[in-house]
Amino acid sequence: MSDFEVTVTDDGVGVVRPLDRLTMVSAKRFTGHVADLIGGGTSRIVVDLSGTGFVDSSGLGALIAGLKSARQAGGDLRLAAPTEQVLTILSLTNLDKVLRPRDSVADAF
Amino acid sequence: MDAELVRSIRLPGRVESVDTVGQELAEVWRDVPDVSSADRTRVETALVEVVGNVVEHALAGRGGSEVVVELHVNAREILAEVADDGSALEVDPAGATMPAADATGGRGLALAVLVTDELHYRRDGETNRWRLRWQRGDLP
Repeated sequence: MSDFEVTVTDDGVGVVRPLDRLTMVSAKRFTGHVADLIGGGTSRIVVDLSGTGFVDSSGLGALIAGLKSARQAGGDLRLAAPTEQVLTILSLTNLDKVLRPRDSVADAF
Repeated sequence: MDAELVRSIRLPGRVESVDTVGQELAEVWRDVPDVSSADRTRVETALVEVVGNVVEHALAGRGGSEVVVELHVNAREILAEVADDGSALEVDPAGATMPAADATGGRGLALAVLVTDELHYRRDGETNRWRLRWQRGDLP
């Protein structure tokens, strides 16, 4: 069962951390966490992928949807610390240009 | 490794099977530890997309159905045959194109094609059959 940790830093940056896999199974819950953060006034969001071993096309779709929502709210959504499989599919789908990964959550904003 | 490892994985026709595939593959890799990390990534990425396509489209609303993945691993290549008895799919791997960066969907088949050396789909009577092949050691 995939799950998420959601926190807001002292600087007001929302951090969503998928704890296992971000796939068709968990993508809707991810989208819900992003919507809750934006609804609560937090539109600068980092997705901490350091514990996410696998992302599928549904997960990529949810990341893009989150990026659009965050930007519409005046913020942004950035990726931190992707694992090998995630880097591979970001590159193959050309999404590494729009979701350019950062080394760590602290580097993201 | 001279021998061929053959493994049959039966998955219930529901969305959660997309994650079960990953767990089952982790078991397979324990038995063939010489498969490289890059090859594991390619196999899992493609199989998750194909199984996702099956449970989301072919088996949607069909309780009690299942997807069967038969995996063959030898020293040269990895083959997977994926079968289900769901509805026929409108799938054309040869025509799959990667959508624009701002699209929130439609990447699955194009991604699966990119990470395989061969990907075929055919309707065989009442059965959907996919065949995927990876040459070991190829980069995605």
